[in-house]
Amino acid sequence: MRRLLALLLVPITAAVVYVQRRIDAELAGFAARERLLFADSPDRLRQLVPGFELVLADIYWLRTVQYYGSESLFNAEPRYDELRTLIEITTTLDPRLELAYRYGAVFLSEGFPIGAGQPEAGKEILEKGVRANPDSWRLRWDLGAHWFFFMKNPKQAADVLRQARKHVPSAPFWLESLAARFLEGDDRSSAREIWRHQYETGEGVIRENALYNLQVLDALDIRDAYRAAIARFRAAHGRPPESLGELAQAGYVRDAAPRDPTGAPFVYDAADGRVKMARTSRLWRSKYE
Amino acid sequence: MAAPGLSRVVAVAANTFRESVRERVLYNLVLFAVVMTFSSLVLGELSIRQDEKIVKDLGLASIDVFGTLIALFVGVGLIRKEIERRSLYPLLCKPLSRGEFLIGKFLGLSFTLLVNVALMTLGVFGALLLAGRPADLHLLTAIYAIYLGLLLTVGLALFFSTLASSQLLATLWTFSLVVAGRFSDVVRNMQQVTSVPRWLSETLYYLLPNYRNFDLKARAVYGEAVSPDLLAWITAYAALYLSAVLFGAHQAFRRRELS
Repeated sequence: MRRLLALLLVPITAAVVYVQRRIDAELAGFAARERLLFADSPDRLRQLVPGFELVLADIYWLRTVQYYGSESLFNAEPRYDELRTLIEITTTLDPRLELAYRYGAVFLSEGFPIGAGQPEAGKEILEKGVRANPDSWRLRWDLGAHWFFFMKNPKQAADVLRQARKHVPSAPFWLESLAARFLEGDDRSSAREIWRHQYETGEGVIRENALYNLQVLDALDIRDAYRAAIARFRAAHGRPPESLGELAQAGYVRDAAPRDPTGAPFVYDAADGRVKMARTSRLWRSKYE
Repeated sequence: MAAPGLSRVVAVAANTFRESVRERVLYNLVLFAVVMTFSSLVLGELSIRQDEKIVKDLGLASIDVFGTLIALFVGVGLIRKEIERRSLYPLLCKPLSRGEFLIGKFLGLSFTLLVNVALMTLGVFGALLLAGRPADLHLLTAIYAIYLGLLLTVGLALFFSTLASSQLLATLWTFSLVVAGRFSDVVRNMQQVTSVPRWLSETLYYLLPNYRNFDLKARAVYGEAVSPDLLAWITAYAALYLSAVLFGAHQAFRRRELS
Protein backbone atom coordinates (compact mmCIF):
# COMPACT_ATOMS: atom_id res chain seq x y z
CA MET A 1 0.00 0.00 0.00
CA ARG A 2 2.78 2.37 1.01
CA ARG A 3 4.69 1.53 -2.20
CA LEU A 4 1.57 2.18 -4.23
CA LEU A 5 1.15 5.59 -2.62
CA ALA A 6 4.81 6.38 -3.26
CA LEU A 7 4.39 5.38 -6.90
CA LEU A 8 1.31 7.56 -7.15
CA LEU A 9 3.39 10.57 -6.09
CA VAL A 10 5.23 10.60 -9.42
CA PRO A 11 2.17 11.04 -11.68
CA ILE A 12 0.60 13.40 -9.17
CA THR A 13 3.73 15.60 -9.18
CA ALA A 14 3.82 15.53 -12.96
CA ALA A 15 0.13 16.42 -13.08
CA VAL A 16 0.67 19.33 -10.72
CA VAL A 17 3.48 20.64 -12.92
CA TYR A 18 1.30 20.23 -16.02
CA VAL A 19 -1.70 21.97 -14.46
CA GLN A 20 0.49 24.80 -13.16
CA ARG A 21 1.89 25.32 -16.63
CA ARG A 22 -1.60 25.50 -18.06
CA ILE A 23 -2.59 28.04 -15.44
CA ASP A 24 0.57 30.08 -16.14
CA ALA A 25 -0.20 30.01 -19.85
CA GLU A 26 -3.75 31.17 -19.20
CA LEU A 27 -2.57 33.98 -16.97
CA ALA A 28 0.40 35.03 -19.13
CA GLY A 29 0.27 38.73 -19.72
CA PHE A 30 -2.98 39.13 -17.83
CA ALA A 31 -1.53 38.98 -14.33
CA ALA A 32 2.05 39.89 -15.22
CA ARG A 33 1.83 43.47 -14.09
CA GLU A 34 0.04 42.57 -10.90
CA ARG A 35 2.61 39.96 -9.96
CA LEU A 36 5.47 42.24 -10.76
CA LEU A 37 4.56 45.32 -8.85
CA PHE A 38 2.16 44.38 -6.03
CA ALA A 39 1.72 48.08 -5.43
CA ASP A 40 2.76 50.93 -7.66
CA SER A 41 2.96 53.62 -5.02
CA PRO A 42 6.50 53.53 -3.62
CA ASP A 43 5.71 55.67 -0.57
CA ARG A 44 2.67 53.63 0.37
CA LEU A 45 4.63 50.43 0.03
CA ARG A 46 7.36 51.84 2.27
CA GLN A 47 4.81 52.59 4.98
CA LEU A 48 3.48 49.06 4.83
CA VAL A 49 6.71 47.38 5.92
CA PRO A 50 8.25 49.37 8.78
CA GLY A 51 11.59 47.85 9.72
CA PHE A 52 11.74 45.66 6.63
CA GLU A 53 12.21 48.29 3.91
CA LEU A 54 15.71 47.07 3.04
CA VAL A 55 14.64 43.48 2.44
CA LEU A 56 11.74 44.62 0.29
CA ALA A 57 14.10 46.94 -1.61
CA ASP A 58 16.34 43.92 -2.30
CA ILE A 59 13.35 41.96 -3.56
CA TYR A 60 12.31 44.80 -5.83
CA TRP A 61 15.87 45.23 -7.07
CA LEU A 62 16.01 41.54 -7.95
CA ARG A 63 12.71 41.96 -9.75
CA THR A 64 14.07 44.98 -11.62
CA VAL A 65 17.18 43.10 -12.76
CA GLN A 66 15.13 40.06 -13.78
CA TYR A 67 12.54 42.18 -15.56
CA TYR A 68 15.17 44.14 -17.48
CA GLY A 69 17.15 40.98 -18.26
CA SER A 70 14.15 39.00 -19.43
CA GLU A 71 12.87 41.83 -21.61
CA SER A 72 16.20 42.81 -23.17
CA LEU A 73 17.59 39.31 -23.65
CA PHE A 74 14.67 36.97 -24.14
CA ASN A 75 11.84 39.05 -25.53
CA ALA A 76 11.84 39.58 -29.29
CA GLU A 77 9.73 42.69 -28.78
CA PRO A 78 10.84 44.02 -25.41
CA ARG A 79 8.56 46.23 -23.35
CA TYR A 80 9.88 48.23 -20.47
CA ASP A 81 6.55 49.60 -19.22
CA GLU A 82 7.19 48.73 -15.56
CA LEU A 83 10.91 49.47 -15.43
CA ARG A 84 10.63 53.03 -14.15
CA THR A 85 8.13 52.08 -11.44
CA LEU A 86 10.26 49.16 -10.28
CA ILE A 87 13.31 51.41 -9.96
CA GLU A 88 11.25 54.09 -8.19
CA ILE A 89 9.95 51.54 -5.68
CA THR A 90 13.41 50.09 -5.06
CA THR A 91 15.01 53.49 -4.48
CA THR A 92 12.15 54.73 -2.31
CA LEU A 93 12.36 51.64 -0.11
CA ASP A 94 16.13 52.00 0.19
CA PRO A 95 17.19 55.54 -0.78
CA ARG A 96 20.85 54.67 -0.17
CA LEU A 97 20.99 51.83 -2.68
CA GLU A 98 23.31 53.67 -5.10
CA LEU A 99 23.56 50.82 -7.56
CA ALA A 100 19.83 50.92 -8.17
CA TYR A 101 20.09 54.55 -9.31
CA ARG A 102 23.21 53.95 -11.37
CA TYR A 103 22.17 50.75 -13.14
CA GLY A 104 18.53 51.83 -13.21
CA ALA A 105 19.46 55.00 -15.12
CA VAL A 106 21.46 52.93 -17.62
CA PHE A 107 18.60 50.44 -18.10
CA LEU A 108 16.18 53.30 -18.68
CA SER A 109 18.38 55.46 -20.89
CA GLU A 110 20.07 53.05 -23.29
CA GLY A 111 18.51 53.18 -26.73
CA PHE A 112 15.66 50.79 -27.50
CA PRO A 113 15.74 47.74 -27.67
CA ILE A 114 18.84 47.39 -25.43
CA GLY A 115 17.28 49.78 -22.93
CA ALA A 116 13.98 51.57 -22.53
CA GLY A 117 15.15 54.57 -24.57
CA GLN A 118 13.99 57.01 -21.87
CA PRO A 119 17.00 59.22 -21.07
CA GLU A 120 14.82 61.83 -19.37
CA ALA A 121 13.56 59.17 -16.93
CA GLY A 122 17.14 58.02 -16.37
CA LYS A 123 18.19 61.57 -15.57
CA GLU A 124 15.35 61.94 -13.07
CA ILE A 125 16.37 58.73 -11.32
CA LEU A 126 19.97 59.96 -11.00
CA GLU A 127 18.77 63.35 -9.75
CA LYS A 128 16.67 61.57 -7.13
CA GLY A 129 19.78 59.62 -6.14
CA VAL A 130 21.82 62.81 -5.77
CA ARG A 131 19.10 64.39 -3.62
CA ALA A 132 18.98 61.31 -1.38
CA ASN A 133 22.78 60.89 -1.26
CA PRO A 134 24.30 64.36 -1.54
CA ASP A 135 27.70 63.05 -0.38
CA SER A 136 28.03 60.49 -3.14
CA TRP A 137 30.37 61.78 -5.84
CA ARG A 138 29.75 58.66 -7.92
CA LEU A 139 26.09 59.51 -8.38
CA ARG A 140 26.95 63.08 -9.34
CA TRP A 141 29.59 61.75 -11.72
CA ASP A 142 27.04 59.42 -13.31
CA LEU A 143 24.61 62.33 -13.62
CA GLY A 144 27.27 64.43 -15.34
CA ALA A 145 28.08 61.58 -17.75
CA HIS A 146 24.35 61.17 -18.33
CA TRP A 147 23.97 64.83 -19.29
CA PHE A 148 26.89 64.42 -21.69
CA PHE A 149 25.96 61.16 -23.40
CA PHE A 150 22.20 60.92 -23.23
CA MET A 151 21.07 64.53 -22.97
CA LYS A 152 23.82 65.83 -25.32
CA ASN A 153 24.39 68.79 -23.06
CA PRO A 154 28.13 69.17 -22.26
CA LYS A 155 27.59 72.51 -20.50
CA GLN A 156 25.15 71.00 -17.99
CA ALA A 157 27.43 67.95 -17.65
CA ALA A 158 30.36 70.20 -16.78
CA ASP A 159 28.21 72.07 -14.29
CA VAL A 160 27.21 68.84 -12.49
CA LEU A 161 30.85 67.73 -12.23
CA ARG A 162 31.91 71.11 -10.85
CA GLN A 163 29.10 70.95 -8.29
CA ALA A 164 30.38 67.52 -7.28
CA ARG A 165 33.88 68.93 -6.68
CA LYS A 166 32.42 71.84 -4.76
CA HIS A 167 30.03 69.96 -2.48
CA VAL A 168 31.62 66.54 -1.99
CA PRO A 169 35.01 66.57 -0.27
CA SER A 170 35.83 63.03 -1.44
CA ALA A 171 35.18 63.84 -5.12
CA PRO A 172 38.33 63.11 -7.19
CA PHE A 173 40.30 66.02 -8.67
CA TRP A 174 39.91 64.84 -12.28
CA LEU A 175 36.24 65.79 -12.28
CA GLU A 176 37.37 69.40 -12.61
CA SER A 177 39.60 68.76 -15.65
CA LEU A 178 36.90 66.64 -17.25
CA ALA A 179 34.39 69.43 -16.79
CA ALA A 180 36.82 71.77 -18.58
CA ARG A 181 37.20 69.28 -21.43
CA PHE A 182 33.41 69.06 -21.83
CA LEU A 183 33.39 72.78 -22.46
CA GLU A 184 36.19 72.55 -25.07
CA GLY A 185 33.77 70.74 -27.35
CA ASP A 186 35.93 67.72 -28.32
CA ASP A 187 33.25 65.12 -27.84
CA ARG A 188 35.25 62.01 -28.60
CA SER A 189 38.11 62.99 -26.36
CA SER A 190 35.66 63.84 -23.55
CA ALA A 191 33.83 60.59 -24.09
CA ARG A 192 37.08 58.65 -23.93
CA GLU A 193 37.96 60.38 -20.70
CA ILE A 194 34.57 59.54 -19.18
CA TRP A 195 34.71 55.90 -20.16
CA ARG A 196 38.31 55.59 -18.98
CA HIS A 197 37.29 56.80 -15.52
CA GLN A 198 34.18 54.61 -15.58
CA TYR A 199 36.42 51.66 -16.40
CA GLU A 200 38.95 52.49 -13.69
CA THR A 201 36.45 53.23 -10.93
CA GLY A 202 33.49 51.04 -11.93
CA GLU A 203 32.80 47.37 -11.37
CA GLY A 204 30.69 44.66 -12.94
CA VAL A 205 28.35 45.68 -15.73
CA ILE A 206 29.39 49.34 -15.51
CA ARG A 207 33.04 48.37 -16.05
CA GLU A 208 32.10 46.03 -18.91
CA ASN A 209 30.02 48.77 -20.51
CA ALA A 210 32.93 51.23 -20.16
CA LEU A 211 35.30 48.73 -21.80
CA TYR A 212 32.84 48.25 -24.66
CA ASN A 213 32.59 52.00 -25.22
CA LEU A 214 36.37 52.46 -25.08
CA GLN A 215 36.73 49.77 -27.74
CA VAL A 216 34.08 51.50 -29.84
CA LEU A 217 36.00 54.77 -29.60
CA ASP A 218 39.22 53.02 -30.63
CA ALA A 219 37.41 51.41 -33.56
CA LEU A 220 35.97 54.76 -34.61
CA ASP A 221 39.47 56.29 -34.49
CA ILE A 222 40.83 53.54 -36.76
CA ARG A 223 37.86 53.86 -39.11
CA ASP A 224 38.25 57.64 -39.31
CA ALA A 225 42.00 57.34 -39.95
CA TYR A 226 41.30 55.05 -42.93
CA ARG A 227 38.55 57.31 -44.18
CA ALA A 228 40.95 60.26 -44.06
CA ALA A 229 43.60 58.22 -45.92
CA ILE A 230 41.04 57.26 -48.57
CA ALA A 231 40.09 60.94 -48.95
CA ARG A 232 43.75 61.78 -49.55
CA PHE A 233 44.08 58.91 -52.05
CA ARG A 234 40.96 60.12 -53.84
CA ALA A 235 42.32 63.69 -53.96
CA ALA A 236 45.61 62.43 -55.46
CA HIS A 237 44.22 59.86 -57.91
CA GLY A 238 40.77 61.15 -58.69
CA ARG A 239 39.17 57.85 -57.59
CA PRO A 240 38.88 55.77 -54.47
CA PRO A 241 41.28 52.80 -54.07
CA GLU A 242 40.02 49.46 -55.35
CA SER A 243 40.97 47.81 -52.09
CA LEU A 244 42.64 48.55 -48.81
CA GLY A 245 45.62 46.63 -50.20
CA GLU A 246 46.02 49.28 -52.90
CA LEU A 247 45.75 51.98 -50.22
CA ALA A 248 48.53 50.32 -48.23
CA GLN A 249 50.68 49.73 -51.33
CA ALA A 250 50.42 53.41 -52.16
CA GLY A 251 51.77 54.15 -48.68
CA TYR A 252 48.72 55.90 -47.23
CA VAL A 253 48.30 53.30 -44.47
CA ARG A 254 50.52 50.53 -43.11
CA ASP A 255 47.97 47.76 -42.61
CA ALA A 256 45.97 46.42 -45.55
CA ALA A 257 43.63 44.42 -43.29
CA PRO A 258 42.79 46.56 -40.27
CA ARG A 259 40.87 45.03 -37.38
CA ASP A 260 38.86 46.60 -34.58
CA PRO A 261 39.83 45.99 -30.91
CA THR A 262 37.67 42.84 -30.80
CA GLY A 263 39.62 41.38 -33.73
CA ALA A 264 36.86 41.80 -36.32
CA PRO A 265 38.15 43.07 -39.70
CA PHE A 266 36.92 46.37 -41.07
CA VAL A 267 34.93 46.22 -44.29
CA TYR A 268 35.85 48.32 -47.32
CA ASP A 269 33.13 49.17 -49.80
CA ALA A 270 34.92 50.03 -53.05
CA ALA A 271 31.68 51.32 -54.59
CA ASP A 272 31.34 54.23 -52.21
CA GLY A 273 34.94 54.21 -51.01
CA ARG A 274 34.05 53.92 -47.32
CA VAL A 275 35.55 51.85 -44.53
CA LYS A 276 32.94 50.46 -42.14
CA MET A 277 32.82 48.31 -39.04
CA ALA A 278 31.92 44.72 -39.84
CA ARG A 279 28.35 43.83 -38.98
CA THR A 280 29.68 40.68 -37.37
CA SER A 281 31.69 42.76 -34.91
CA ARG A 282 30.45 42.91 -31.33
CA LEU A 283 31.00 46.67 -31.53
CA TRP A 284 28.81 47.28 -34.59
CA ARG A 285 25.77 49.54 -34.31
CA SER A 286 23.93 51.12 -37.23
CA LYS A 287 24.85 54.58 -35.96
CA TYR A 288 28.54 53.79 -36.61
CA GLU A 289 27.96 53.14 -40.33
CA MET B 1 26.17 34.14 48.60
CA ALA B 2 23.10 35.05 46.54
CA ALA B 3 19.97 36.31 48.27
CA PRO B 4 17.29 33.59 48.60
CA GLY B 5 14.86 35.59 46.41
CA LEU B 6 17.46 35.87 43.67
CA SER B 7 18.33 32.20 43.76
CA ARG B 8 14.63 31.33 43.44
CA VAL B 9 14.33 33.62 40.41
CA VAL B 10 17.43 32.01 38.88
CA ALA B 11 16.00 28.57 39.51
CA VAL B 12 12.75 29.46 37.70
CA ALA B 13 14.75 31.09 34.87
CA ALA B 14 16.94 28.02 34.46
CA ASN B 15 13.91 25.78 34.46
CA THR B 16 12.17 27.99 31.89
CA PHE B 17 15.24 27.90 29.67
CA ARG B 18 15.39 24.10 29.89
CA GLU B 19 11.70 23.89 29.15
CA SER B 20 11.73 26.28 26.20
CA VAL B 21 14.67 24.61 24.49
CA ARG B 22 12.53 21.47 24.42
CA GLU B 23 9.91 23.27 22.33
CA ARG B 24 9.93 21.87 18.82
CA VAL B 25 8.58 25.12 17.38
CA LEU B 26 11.73 26.86 18.59
CA TYR B 27 14.02 24.60 16.58
CA ASN B 28 11.81 24.95 13.53
CA LEU B 29 11.91 28.73 13.73
CA VAL B 30 15.67 28.95 14.27
CA LEU B 31 16.29 26.45 11.50
CA PHE B 32 14.01 28.37 9.18
CA ALA B 33 15.80 31.63 10.01
CA VAL B 34 19.19 30.08 9.25
CA VAL B 35 17.85 28.56 6.00
CA MET B 36 16.45 31.98 5.03
CA THR B 37 19.83 33.57 5.72
CA PHE B 38 21.67 31.04 3.60
CA SER B 39 19.10 31.33 0.83
CA SER B 40 20.23 34.94 0.52
CA LEU B 41 23.44 33.55 -1.01
CA VAL B 42 21.40 32.29 -3.95
CA LEU B 43 19.39 35.51 -4.18
CA GLY B 44 22.60 37.53 -4.07
CA GLU B 45 23.83 35.68 -7.15
CA LEU B 46 20.76 36.86 -9.05
CA SER B 47 21.34 40.52 -8.22
CA ILE B 48 24.03 42.77 -9.65
CA ARG B 49 26.84 43.03 -7.08
CA GLN B 50 24.40 43.13 -4.19
CA ASP B 51 25.18 39.74 -2.66
CA GLU B 52 26.70 41.13 0.53
CA LYS B 53 23.87 43.58 1.12
CA ILE B 54 21.22 40.94 0.47
CA VAL B 55 22.87 38.53 2.94
CA LYS B 56 22.93 41.27 5.59
CA ASP B 57 19.39 42.53 4.89
CA LEU B 58 17.84 39.09 4.85
CA GLY B 59 19.90 37.92 7.82
CA LEU B 60 18.87 40.84 10.02
CA ALA B 61 15.24 40.63 8.90
CA SER B 62 15.22 36.89 9.69
CA ILE B 63 16.57 37.50 13.19
CA ASP B 64 13.91 40.16 13.71
CA VAL B 65 10.96 38.19 12.32
CA PHE B 66 11.79 34.78 13.76
CA GLY B 67 12.95 36.23 17.06
CA THR B 68 9.60 38.02 17.32
CA LEU B 69 7.72 34.81 16.53
CA ILE B 70 9.66 32.94 19.23
CA ALA B 71 9.14 35.74 21.76
CA LEU B 72 5.46 35.91 20.92
CA PHE B 73 4.45 32.27 20.81
CA VAL B 74 6.73 30.94 23.51
CA GLY B 75 6.20 34.05 25.68
CA VAL B 76 2.41 33.87 25.57
CA GLY B 77 2.45 30.20 26.52
CA LEU B 78 4.89 30.51 29.43
CA ILE B 79 2.42 31.12 32.21
CA ARG B 80 -0.70 29.77 30.56
CA LYS B 81 0.87 26.34 30.18
CA GLU B 82 1.80 26.27 33.86
CA ILE B 83 -1.80 27.11 34.72
CA GLU B 84 -3.34 24.65 32.27
CA ARG B 85 -1.01 21.82 33.33
CA ARG B 86 -1.67 22.80 36.95
CA SER B 87 2.06 22.75 37.56
CA LEU B 88 1.88 26.31 38.86
CA TYR B 89 0.02 25.44 42.05
CA PRO B 90 2.67 23.30 43.74
CA LEU B 91 5.26 25.89 42.73
CA LEU B 92 3.39 28.72 44.39
CA CYS B 93 2.93 26.65 47.53
CA LYS B 94 6.69 26.76 47.91
CA PRO B 95 8.36 29.89 49.25
CA LEU B 96 8.15 31.51 45.81
CA SER B 97 6.22 34.71 45.23
CA ARG B 98 4.27 35.33 42.05
CA GLY B 99 6.60 38.24 41.28
CA GLU B 100 9.67 36.01 41.55
CA PHE B 101 7.98 33.42 39.36
CA LEU B 102 7.14 36.03 36.72
CA ILE B 103 10.62 37.55 36.65
CA GLY B 104 12.15 34.10 36.51
CA LYS B 105 9.98 33.21 33.55
CA PHE B 106 10.94 36.45 31.81
CA LEU B 107 14.66 35.93 32.41
CA GLY B 108 14.48 32.32 31.29
CA LEU B 109 12.89 33.17 27.98
CA SER B 110 15.20 36.17 27.55
CA PHE B 111 18.17 33.84 27.88
CA THR B 112 16.60 31.40 25.42
CA LEU B 113 16.19 34.26 22.99
CA LEU B 114 19.77 35.37 23.56
CA VAL B 115 21.02 31.89 22.64
CA ASN B 116 18.76 31.79 19.58
CA VAL B 117 19.75 35.26 18.42
CA ALA B 118 23.40 34.28 18.87
CA LEU B 119 22.83 31.17 16.71
CA MET B 120 21.10 33.21 14.03
CA THR B 121 23.91 35.79 14.16
CA LEU B 122 26.44 33.01 13.60
CA GLY B 123 24.31 31.98 10.63
CA VAL B 124 24.52 35.49 9.15
CA PHE B 125 28.28 35.67 9.64
CA GLY B 126 28.63 32.16 8.20
CA ALA B 127 26.63 33.18 5.13
CA LEU B 128 28.82 36.27 4.73
CA LEU B 129 31.97 34.17 4.94
CA LEU B 130 30.56 31.75 2.37
CA ALA B 131 29.91 34.73 0.10
CA GLY B 132 33.58 35.64 0.55
CA ARG B 133 32.75 38.74 2.58
CA PRO B 134 34.14 39.76 5.95
CA ALA B 135 32.06 39.44 9.12
CA ASP B 136 30.85 43.02 9.48
CA LEU B 137 30.81 43.91 13.19
CA HIS B 138 28.50 46.87 12.52
CA LEU B 139 25.73 44.28 12.31
CA LEU B 140 26.10 43.61 16.02
CA THR B 141 24.64 47.02 16.91
CA ALA B 142 21.54 46.28 14.84
CA ILE B 143 21.28 42.81 16.38
CA TYR B 144 21.62 44.26 19.87
CA ALA B 145 18.75 46.67 19.13
CA ILE B 146 16.65 43.82 17.69
CA TYR B 147 17.28 41.84 20.89
CA LEU B 148 16.07 44.73 23.00
CA GLY B 149 12.88 44.82 20.93
CA LEU B 150 12.47 41.08 21.44
CA LEU B 151 12.76 41.51 25.21
CA LEU B 152 9.96 44.05 24.99
CA THR B 153 7.86 41.55 23.05
CA VAL B 154 8.47 38.90 25.73
CA GLY B 155 7.38 41.42 28.37
CA LEU B 156 4.20 42.23 26.47
CA ALA B 157 3.48 38.54 25.87
CA LEU B 158 3.83 37.85 29.59
CA PHE B 159 1.63 40.83 30.43
CA PHE B 160 -1.18 39.75 28.13
CA SER B 161 -0.89 36.09 29.09
CA THR B 162 -1.56 37.06 32.70
CA LEU B 163 -4.45 39.29 31.64
CA ALA B 164 -6.26 37.47 28.84
CA SER B 165 -8.71 34.65 29.35
CA SER B 166 -7.31 32.59 26.48
CA GLN B 167 -3.98 32.04 24.80
CA LEU B 168 -5.40 33.08 21.44
CA LEU B 169 -6.54 36.39 22.84
CA ALA B 170 -3.17 37.01 24.50
CA THR B 171 -1.41 36.21 21.23
CA LEU B 172 -3.66 38.55 19.27
CA TRP B 173 -3.24 41.41 21.73
CA THR B 174 0.53 41.05 21.83
CA PHE B 175 0.77 40.73 18.08
CA SER B 176 -1.42 43.81 17.56
CA LEU B 177 0.67 45.87 19.91
CA VAL B 178 3.94 44.76 18.32
CA VAL B 179 2.60 45.64 14.85
CA ALA B 180 1.18 48.97 16.07
CA GLY B 181 4.52 49.75 17.68
CA ARG B 182 6.25 49.25 14.36
CA PHE B 183 3.93 51.88 12.86
CA SER B 184 4.61 54.39 15.62
CA ASP B 185 5.66 57.13 13.18
CA VAL B 186 2.41 56.66 11.25
CA VAL B 187 0.49 56.95 14.53
CA ARG B 188 2.28 60.16 15.35
CA ASN B 189 1.54 61.70 11.95
CA MET B 190 -2.09 60.59 12.00
CA GLN B 191 -3.44 64.05 12.69
CA GLN B 192 -1.94 65.29 9.42
CA VAL B 193 -4.11 63.07 7.26
CA THR B 194 -7.13 62.36 9.48
CA SER B 195 -9.33 64.32 11.85
CA VAL B 196 -7.76 62.59 14.87
CA PRO B 197 -6.89 65.30 17.42
CA ARG B 198 -3.23 65.95 17.95
CA TRP B 199 -3.34 65.11 21.66
CA LEU B 200 -4.72 61.66 20.87
CA SER B 201 -2.10 60.80 18.28
CA GLU B 202 0.65 62.12 20.57
CA THR B 203 -0.69 60.10 23.53
CA LEU B 204 -0.89 56.96 21.44
CA TYR B 205 2.59 57.60 20.11
CA TYR B 206 4.11 57.70 23.59
CA LEU B 207 1.91 54.94 24.96
CA LEU B 208 2.59 52.35 22.30
CA PRO B 209 5.93 50.52 22.42
CA ASN B 210 8.03 52.30 19.82
CA TYR B 211 9.63 49.48 17.89
CA ARG B 212 11.07 51.95 15.38
CA ASN B 213 13.66 52.74 18.06
CA PHE B 214 15.03 49.24 17.71
CA ASP B 215 15.46 49.38 13.95
CA LEU B 216 19.12 50.14 13.27
CA LYS B 217 19.28 47.74 10.34
CA ALA B 218 19.83 50.36 7.60
CA ARG B 219 22.66 52.00 9.54
CA ALA B 220 24.33 48.67 10.22
CA VAL B 221 24.05 47.42 6.64
CA TYR B 222 25.58 50.63 5.29
CA GLY B 223 28.38 50.47 7.87
CA GLU B 224 27.30 53.64 9.63
CA ALA B 225 28.53 53.88 13.20
CA VAL B 226 25.83 54.20 15.85
CA SER B 227 26.71 56.61 18.62
CA PRO B 228 27.05 55.18 22.14
CA ASP B 229 24.56 57.84 23.24
CA LEU B 230 21.89 56.49 20.95
CA LEU B 231 22.53 52.93 22.09
CA ALA B 232 22.29 54.09 25.70
CA TRP B 233 18.98 55.86 25.03
CA ILE B 234 17.54 52.83 23.27
CA THR B 235 18.64 50.62 26.15
CA ALA B 236 17.11 53.03 28.67
CA TYR B 237 13.84 53.11 26.71
CA ALA B 238 13.68 49.30 26.62
CA ALA B 239 14.49 49.06 30.33
CA LEU B 240 11.86 51.63 31.31
CA TYR B 241 9.11 50.30 29.09
CA LEU B 242 9.92 46.76 30.11
CA SER B 243 9.83 47.56 33.81
CA ALA B 244 6.41 49.19 33.34
CA VAL B 245 5.09 46.19 31.41
CA LEU B 246 6.50 43.68 33.88
CA PHE B 247 5.06 45.69 36.74
CA GLY B 248 1.66 45.61 35.00
CA ALA B 249 2.06 41.88 34.44
CA HIS B 250 2.95 41.39 38.08
CA GLN B 251 -0.12 43.33 39.23
CA ALA B 252 -2.40 41.38 36.90
CA PHE B 253 -0.83 38.06 37.92
CA ARG B 254 -1.01 38.92 41.61
CA ARG B 255 -4.74 39.60 41.41
CA ARG B 256 -5.48 36.67 39.23
CA GLU B 257 -7.67 33.98 40.74
CA LEU B 258 -6.05 30.62 40.16
CA SER B 259 -8.69 27.97 40.34
